Amino acid sequence: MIPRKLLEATFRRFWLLLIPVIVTPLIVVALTRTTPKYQSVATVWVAQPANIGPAALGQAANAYVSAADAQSQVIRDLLTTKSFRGDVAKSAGLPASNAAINFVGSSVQVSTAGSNLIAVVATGSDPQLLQAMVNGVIAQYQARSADESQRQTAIAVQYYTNQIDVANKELDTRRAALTAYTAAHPNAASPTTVDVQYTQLVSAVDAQSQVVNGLVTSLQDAQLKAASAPQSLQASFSVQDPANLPKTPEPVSLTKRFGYPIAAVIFGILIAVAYVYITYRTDHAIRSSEDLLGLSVPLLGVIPDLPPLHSRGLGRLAPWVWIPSKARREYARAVAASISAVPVPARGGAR
Amino acid sequence: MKKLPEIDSQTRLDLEEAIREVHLIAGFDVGDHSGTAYADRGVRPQRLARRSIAVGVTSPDYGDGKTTIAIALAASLSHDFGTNVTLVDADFHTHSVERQYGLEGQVGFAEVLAGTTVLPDATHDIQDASIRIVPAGLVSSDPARLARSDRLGPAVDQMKSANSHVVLDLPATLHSMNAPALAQRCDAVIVVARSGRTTRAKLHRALHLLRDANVIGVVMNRQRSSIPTWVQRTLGVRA
Repeated sequence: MIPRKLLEATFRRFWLLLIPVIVTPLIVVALTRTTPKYQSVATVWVAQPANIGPAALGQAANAYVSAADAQSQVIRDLLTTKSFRGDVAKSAGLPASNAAINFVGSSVQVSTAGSNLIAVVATGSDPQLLQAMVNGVIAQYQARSADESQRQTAIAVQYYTNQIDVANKELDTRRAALTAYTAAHPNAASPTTVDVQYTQLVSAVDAQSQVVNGLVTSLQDAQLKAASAPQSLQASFSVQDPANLPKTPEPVSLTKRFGYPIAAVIFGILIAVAYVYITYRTDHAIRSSEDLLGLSVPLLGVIPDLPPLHSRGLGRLAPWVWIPSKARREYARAVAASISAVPVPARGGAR
Repeated sequence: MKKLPEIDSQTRLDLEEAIREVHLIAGFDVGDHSGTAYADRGVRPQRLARRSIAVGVTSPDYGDGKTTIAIALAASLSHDFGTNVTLVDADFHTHSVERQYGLEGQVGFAEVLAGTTVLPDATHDIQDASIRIVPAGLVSSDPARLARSDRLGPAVDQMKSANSHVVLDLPATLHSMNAPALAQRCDAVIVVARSGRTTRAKLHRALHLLRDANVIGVVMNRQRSSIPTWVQRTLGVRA
């Protein structure tokens, strides 16, 4: 049997109990409600980055890191820079603002899809913008990679050219010294004689010639690298699946669609139950005859909470004004009848 | 059908009144022919002694509705039972009854207890209500002294001798030391508890203070149930 007081506590402010049950799910739905999300993806085949990243600094590639991991890490690193994000935003047609830069950073993700495949993914509400951003990331990466390659090869060509000049001057000096020595000692070059100084001069000239040849080879390599940079970049970073234009939004998970609202309803019910329990436990007021049990006094009568009488103004002329008046009289008469029925022993007064 | 034996007119009147009272207690509508109908059916007449009782109405706190109940009780006893009723404002703190009937500033019960006036001079006939009112009066001395006056018993007796019922509006028990003293002079005391406001502890304490009085029961005032009717019906909860 449910205690009457518990029911009273439940229904006294029933609307108050409905607030957490209704409002909590609404809040959760409002917080988890998102605009339809689209996703544009481009898949790129990659080799170990040669012109950008650690390899560009002369460091050997980590054998334990796949080409996809290395390249995706390079792109992620670039995406942390404002200039790269700004360039991507600009290429996607976004205004050059901090909001746009932050939007690019939060929308674009790079992940690996194998040892040589990376996926550039952009998530957002505007399909065309997403496609443009993915294309922008790839284009900016390729441009940066090409620039970096060009810069490095230019530096290398310049370096080797300078080194060759110096080496050639040294070679000329050594050759001059050998010529002077041969002129002074005509028999020094004779195969029958052994001239130590002549031999040293010849060895110095040969060694310098090898240095010059090595530098020339390196210069040629650098020049070859500079000439073939676009082709090698294309080979090490090849777009397999261009960025698509998403047609349908990404599906919302069942947890987000139903799980959170149901959990919120349950949470609201728990709040309401806790409120009812606290109200019930802290309510010590007398509300019904059940609360008089144990007090050893009978309940003579119950007078309900009647609406006020229309005893003033035009209210007294209302046709229904007799209803509360009659009700009052009925209750008063019932109480009076109860009192009359109680046997009263003789006390202070005369009979 | 067996006929009732011949009885005198006074006995017949008493019998009709008793039957009417039983009807009221049972909640039946009381018509002019009820007594006769029962007499015709062969109900054995039982003579009820005429009672003259003093009923005190009090409550644990002020604002519980004791004055309203006292006025309603007096009016009902007068109207529905046709008895002579005097309503006494014995609450020297609030003077609620005399304010209800516009008797402020009139001599009343306080003067009777102080001995400065006699009861007939302090009694006011209310024509519309068909009851007599004794207002609280101009309380100048200590109300506690008035409640313990030797004239209290004779004054109540005098009112009882002239009325079938004397209804006394007593002070709130937990707020006045006069309430238990005045209640002891009543034949019966009704304690009014306001539903949803009077706590069980307060009612218990009030009943403890009134332990020397004849508390005949509790009237629950302004009861309001928040439980919808269909819930009460489904769960079998009594209204």
